[in-house]
Amino acid sequence: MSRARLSAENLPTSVRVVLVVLGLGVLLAVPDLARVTPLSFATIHKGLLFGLAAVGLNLLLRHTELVSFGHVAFFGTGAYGAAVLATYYEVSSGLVLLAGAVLAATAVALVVGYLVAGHLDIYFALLTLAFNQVLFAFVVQSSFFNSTDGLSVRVGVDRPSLLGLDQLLVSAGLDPVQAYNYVLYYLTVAILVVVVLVTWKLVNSPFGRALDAIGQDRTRARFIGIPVERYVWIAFTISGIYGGIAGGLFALLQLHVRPEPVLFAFVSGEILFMAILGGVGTLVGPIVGGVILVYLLDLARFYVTYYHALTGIVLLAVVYFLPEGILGSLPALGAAIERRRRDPGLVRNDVETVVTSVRRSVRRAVTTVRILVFGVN
Amino acid sequence: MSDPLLEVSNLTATVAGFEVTHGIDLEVGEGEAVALVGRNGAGKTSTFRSIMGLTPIAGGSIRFDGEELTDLRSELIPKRGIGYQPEGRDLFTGMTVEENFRLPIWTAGDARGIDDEDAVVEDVFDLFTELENRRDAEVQNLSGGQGKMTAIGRALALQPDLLILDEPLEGLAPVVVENLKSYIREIIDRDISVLVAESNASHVPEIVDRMYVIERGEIVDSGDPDDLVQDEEIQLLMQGGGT
Repeated sequence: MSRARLSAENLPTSVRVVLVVLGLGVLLAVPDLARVTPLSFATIHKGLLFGLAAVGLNLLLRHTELVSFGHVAFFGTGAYGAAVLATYYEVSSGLVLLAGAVLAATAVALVVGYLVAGHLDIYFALLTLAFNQVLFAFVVQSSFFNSTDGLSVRVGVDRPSLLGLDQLLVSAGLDPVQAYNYVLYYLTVAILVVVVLVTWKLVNSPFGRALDAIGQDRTRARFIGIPVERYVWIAFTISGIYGGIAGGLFALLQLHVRPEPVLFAFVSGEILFMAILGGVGTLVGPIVGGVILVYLLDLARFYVTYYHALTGIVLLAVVYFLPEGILGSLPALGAAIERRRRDPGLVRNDVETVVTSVRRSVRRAVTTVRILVFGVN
Repeated sequence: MSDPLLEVSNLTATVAGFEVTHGIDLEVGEGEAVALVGRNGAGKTSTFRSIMGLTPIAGGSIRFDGEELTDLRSELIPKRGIGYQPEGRDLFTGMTVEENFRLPIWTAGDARGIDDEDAVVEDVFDLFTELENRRDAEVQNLSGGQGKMTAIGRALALQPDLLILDEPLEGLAPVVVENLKSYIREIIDRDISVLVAESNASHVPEIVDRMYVIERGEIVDSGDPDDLVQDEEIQLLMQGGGT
């Protein structure tokens, strides 16, 4: 909570309202922006879905201070929940598929959460990773889940129906694929808004305060009567449900679910990184982190062979230069700019600091080279 | 002495597998104020943490209001009516003084039958009048004395029948110590039983009715605080000598 408060207090309400309106405006305009710019609509959509899972992960990370290395398990369970309904039960309603995804993720999160809630730190992290890997191995080995080939989310060749809204757009003259993607995108945005509002309400409720207390010190929380394990279990399950919703929507977007993109533990690390990149101390930072990371990885794939190294490079940059993440650093950045606007002399100091530090680094490098080449300085 | 509200019998607590208390027997009656006095490391905190279910016990019994506590999960103990101010401040940083008072009520108030949360919180502020103008301050910004008061206030928020205070006066300026003593006396006047740990025996007679002396994890004496603090053997023990 202390972190939440830092970011909230440093931004005036008016600024926050403007940012929310701006953010919503950008989200709603993405399909149009993608038409007139080189932005990839599908990549942004995918980024938002992973960002949604990262919001869930962040509920644990920010408030109970628990790091999950296996969060993609719920994303994958959600995706497979939808795929199983479509493949084996020929369910074609997008909303029913989504409900199936949420139910599957809830069930798995309840079980895993119950088993890990009493553990802390590295044990918690490793247990979540282990459950993730067990689930991945189970799906890969299982003929029911069609092993590494995965399952289709179509009934026959048809896409799931999205309340008939996609058909409405088709009858208005839009291409069927485009119509489906647009409706799914706006459904994602609507769900994202609801999830953010629910999370905001949750973290500012007594339950959220209790999670903060648990995150600070479990013993301290116990002696004032907080049922620590039960609350962590509930938070874990909610967090898993968010992952399930995101996975279900991902299944509807990709129309085919394979284990590697939705269940492999490496993706859990990426979801964790999305939260850190956007700002663990913020509510919507993980969504921003999700879009940026997915975009970077998708884009880099075309230009760099070892594009996965990009994750590491960006992570290093964030840890060294933006430890509070992108959104988390905004208040401090805004305050620094404001100080310099009021006192332009500070800019000169900044330049002097940079010049001095560059000089010092060059001098050190020259000394090192001398020692290496001549054996003495 | 009145009927025991808390009855600790033959309690042996362990830390990392080692016995730190050996057969502790102590009682606190309803409305009674009792002190557990001993040097640092004598076993006061371990005894209190055992009562609160925070330190494992190897043997013995802890009965509160007729109920055995040793089998209860630690978070249920405050719900039974024991408030605990741990050694140090141990407050929830990033939250205000008022939020620290409200948090236990939010999570365990129902179990204590608290219907009017605001009334309970105001009652705590009525007691600690000097916290009134600090109610919206985040607790990491409080002075040492205010921090201790907040920790005691948080323990009072569940309207306990027994309040356990672990070294509430330690590390405070003399004037703050006097203030806190008067607050503790006021708590006792509200008919709340108090069990207080102190390493400075001279404070004790002003606060409590009865006192136990603990040394190396064992109760070595008990009785009237005025008599015991005058006892040369006890004085020697508190200074690090004696047996």
